[in-house]
Amino acid sequence: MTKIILNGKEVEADPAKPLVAACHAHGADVPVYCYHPGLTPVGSCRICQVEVKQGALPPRVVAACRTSVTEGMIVETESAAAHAVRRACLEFLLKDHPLDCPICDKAGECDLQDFAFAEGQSKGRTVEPRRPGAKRQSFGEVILYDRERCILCSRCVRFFTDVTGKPQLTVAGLAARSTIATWQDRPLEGNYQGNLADVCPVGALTLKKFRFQARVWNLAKTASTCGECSRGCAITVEVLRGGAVRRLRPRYDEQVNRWWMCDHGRFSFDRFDAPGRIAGVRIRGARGFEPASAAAGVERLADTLRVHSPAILVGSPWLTVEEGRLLAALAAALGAETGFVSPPPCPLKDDLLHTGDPCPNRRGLTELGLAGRPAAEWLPRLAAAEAAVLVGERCAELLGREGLAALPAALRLATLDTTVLDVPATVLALGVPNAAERTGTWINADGIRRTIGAARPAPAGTPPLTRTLEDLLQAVRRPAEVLAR
Amino acid sequence: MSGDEAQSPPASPDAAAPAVLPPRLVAEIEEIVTHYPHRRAALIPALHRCQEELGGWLSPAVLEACAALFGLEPVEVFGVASFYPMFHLRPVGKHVVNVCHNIACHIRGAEEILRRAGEVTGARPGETSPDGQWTVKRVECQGACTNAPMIDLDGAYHEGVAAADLAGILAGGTPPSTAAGARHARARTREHATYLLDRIAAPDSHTLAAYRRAGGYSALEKVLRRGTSPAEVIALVKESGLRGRGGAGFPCGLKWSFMPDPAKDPRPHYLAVNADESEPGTCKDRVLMERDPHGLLEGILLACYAIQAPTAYIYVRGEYRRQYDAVQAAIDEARRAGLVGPRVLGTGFACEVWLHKGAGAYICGEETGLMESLEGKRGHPRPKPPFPAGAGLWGNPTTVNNVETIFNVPFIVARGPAWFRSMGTEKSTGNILVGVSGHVERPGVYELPLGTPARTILEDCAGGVWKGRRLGFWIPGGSSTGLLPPSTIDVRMDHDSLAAAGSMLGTASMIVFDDTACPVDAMEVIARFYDHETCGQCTQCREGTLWLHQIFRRIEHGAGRMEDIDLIADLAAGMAPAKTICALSDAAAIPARSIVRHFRADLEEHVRRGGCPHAREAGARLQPAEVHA
Repeated sequence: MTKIILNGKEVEADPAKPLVAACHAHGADVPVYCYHPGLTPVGSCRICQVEVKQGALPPRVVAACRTSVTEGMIVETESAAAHAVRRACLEFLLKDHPLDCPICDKAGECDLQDFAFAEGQSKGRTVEPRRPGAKRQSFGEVILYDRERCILCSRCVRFFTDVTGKPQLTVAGLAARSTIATWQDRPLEGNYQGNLADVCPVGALTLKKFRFQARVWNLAKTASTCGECSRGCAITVEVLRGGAVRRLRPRYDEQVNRWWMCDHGRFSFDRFDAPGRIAGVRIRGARGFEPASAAAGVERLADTLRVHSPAILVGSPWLTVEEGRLLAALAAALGAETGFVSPPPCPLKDDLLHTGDPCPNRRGLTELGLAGRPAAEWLPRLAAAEAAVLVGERCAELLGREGLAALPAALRLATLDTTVLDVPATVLALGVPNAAERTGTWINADGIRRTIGAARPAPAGTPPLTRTLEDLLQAVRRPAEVLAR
Repeated sequence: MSGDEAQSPPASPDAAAPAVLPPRLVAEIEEIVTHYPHRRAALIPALHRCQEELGGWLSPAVLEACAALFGLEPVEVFGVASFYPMFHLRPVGKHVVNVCHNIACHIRGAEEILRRAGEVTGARPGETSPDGQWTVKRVECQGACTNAPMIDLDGAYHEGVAAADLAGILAGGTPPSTAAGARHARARTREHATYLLDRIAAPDSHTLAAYRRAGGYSALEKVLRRGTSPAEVIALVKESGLRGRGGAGFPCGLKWSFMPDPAKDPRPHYLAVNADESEPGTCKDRVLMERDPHGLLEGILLACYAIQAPTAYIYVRGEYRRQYDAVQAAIDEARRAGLVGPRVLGTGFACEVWLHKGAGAYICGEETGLMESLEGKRGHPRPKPPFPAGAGLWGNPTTVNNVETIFNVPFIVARGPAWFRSMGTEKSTGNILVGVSGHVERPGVYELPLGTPARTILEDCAGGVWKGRRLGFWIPGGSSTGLLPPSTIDVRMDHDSLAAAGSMLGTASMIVFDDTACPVDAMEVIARFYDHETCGQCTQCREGTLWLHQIFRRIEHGAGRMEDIDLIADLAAGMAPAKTICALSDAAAIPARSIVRHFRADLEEHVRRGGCPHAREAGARLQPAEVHA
């Protein structure tokens, strides 16, 4: 580590990283556009100017992203000289900017907006008409490009070159006439396009799927973990005013996904608000599935399991470690067979993040002694049982509706899922929170434990799955005579 | 249109179908590839060959084929090709007429040439005539400033063009100019020692025989036969005080001494010769390349020996075809004579020299932009440090020297540092090629000792301001050195004197304007150039050059505001000094600052009168609605 004096305080700086990284690490809010810690620095936007003094040399204002730290370097990020250069740079950046923040999806998390505000840039000096540029240019299924908002920082170009290894974008042309382009206006390819909207410091590259969906300041952001593969990328789940999940975004995690996530995971949030969601419990009665309280649901299920044996408990691959532990305990208490559904491998496997295993907690569940079996192995076992419980969201989905519909009606099938499984065998459906509504631990393919966070409350009357499983465990352990009463 | 293209099937509707490059062309490209340690470096020369052979433009199919040939993604090749103005990414006419509209040509009638070209061809600038015969392009400085105005017709320069003669030229009735050296360069106008241009008067001055006759390659022989060490050669050059002739004036020997010792740093060492002469007003290197290529070559061999670089690349601007061919012929001759190759003059000194063709981007004359371009990329300058001597071409130690700088070296080695120091001033030693263009009687490239007063050059060499007029203003060293008032014409043309006068020697390329010329008009043209040529990386430069151009355009055409004048100064202060990766931003800001400093009254008068007060020879100017176009 190298010692530098940053704004009057001695701090340690990583000599392998540029000066701007040290500034950011120690709370100095130096603006950046072209610099991104995950991309090769180019030093072209010139906004990260800070004043440095080295040895006997007079102070200089330098681009912090292309300056190495040296022992004893004195760095002033807020000097008048540094601010003057940054302000000039901002004025140039804003010269032809459309200032369409009111309709820009980036507004509220836009570095251009924020730094312009921070520098108090309130008055334009240009009378030149703002240059028109391409608007709403499609870069494929995921991304829209707006040349007018683009500041040509080239982060997007470098994302493909540096991160995915296959260049798909270029700065085309020369001078202010430059633009960002794909080859022959062809759509971008691959499973990582959504990251462009994250690396873009302004509103030039936006997600088609997020277009006009929310003002970002109305989104409540909760740290969580992506459940689409066993990488378990760190994410934030972003919920609009306590309602729908509008966006998933990667969250920096040095060990897991750094700054990135795949599109498959990013756009998996629709399932959180899929139709058919139930609040509380449904019990099959004479007139179909009738609502009941959570307590009544647990009682009914415990009764069923006490009376009908053998029972089988099939877990969802999305169960957390905490839920899996209770499932194993419940199975032990009942002497029932258990395990989890092992989803088929996903063809999206790549060398970057996607592991190809859609089970985010295989490792955690396996360590609990729960065995993963494919749906085809579970269905005959279910058919042979007297009672069965499908534990956790999407368990039924993975087992397949067709197979479940073919189960004998005599099987007493209960689900702990987000929707009612309307097949002849179903007697009971206990609603559970989905992955946006519960907390717990997943252990990824590399053995790294990460937490999923509750981004919003579960529907009314829907207790956490752990709570339901605990209640069930208590209920089935109660003496038979109590139950019989 | 080439036979190969004529025989090829009609364009496939599927743009993804790779074009089959003719095998002969592929073989040629593969040969070019062998000049470099990395395949990609041959990309730009390959694109040139494809454009030349395959219909004058680079179709998507050709770009894809090149991408496949170089193991690149098509989007990368597109990014590169789109950076360079010489590459056409759309079909062009059978004939391409490039008309220089930069400052030296502008003030000698470029707009009239453009108008006439439009009448003759039916193609407006930037367009192709309806019959597909002609494409007319406005281009920036082509390096023929002393013979302005000029056009480039299908790759051949026609210089000193009169609008009245244009129809004849386009009809093919006029041979191309062999301008370099022949028409205007005068070796000697006053009583002072000369050496740079001494040989070029001979009609065969470009040949090895002529060069040998004049004592050529004796400096190289002296060094190699006597076993002079590389360090001793560097010491000689240091002692001579030779400063770079490319614009910055950095001491050449000192630059060489930054190169690491190969015994301690085994990475390959390179010399890159900057022959991308493109600073507006500058056209001196082309004289040397065309008329005295062996002089350059001997300098290169000595420089390579000194910095212990077994490989040299000469980055020649793509427009300089005649000069490229002349240097290539010299290299071929020298190779046959054992002067270039694995055993130079039969000694253990190995030196390969390769020509590399640029494609028309001013920024590639900046040394790090040049290296990026030589590596087959967009010519985006690199931040320094690291400096080229530490990490240059492909990350290896590299020295970049201007043609004229290198050209001085054999003389210094042969005649000694003391002789060299006997010319010029104490801190600016030797002679320098001074180009004089613009409103003078005898524009030309002149050899003069550094420190010669500008007035002497103007009056004695260039015959004074033309048409008996008086000096209006002038530019001392290429357009980036700024506009100076007539009161400064007694300044001495050396680095320190011009720095003291608030300007720079630059490339010592004087552009002279008579008293009917308008500094604001000149500034608009200069600002247009930097707006066109900034690589676009750095914010201040990309947006600042555009903004300055817009403001000067407004002022010149009647939409100026008084507050614009201070705004210009403010913007210039935001762009320079040292705000950006390279000095192009400075090059654009310096002239802007200079006009505010020296010609504020002219700017104010433009604003007050709502337009340019100067009489126009060129005729109609822009309509108000066009000002913002």
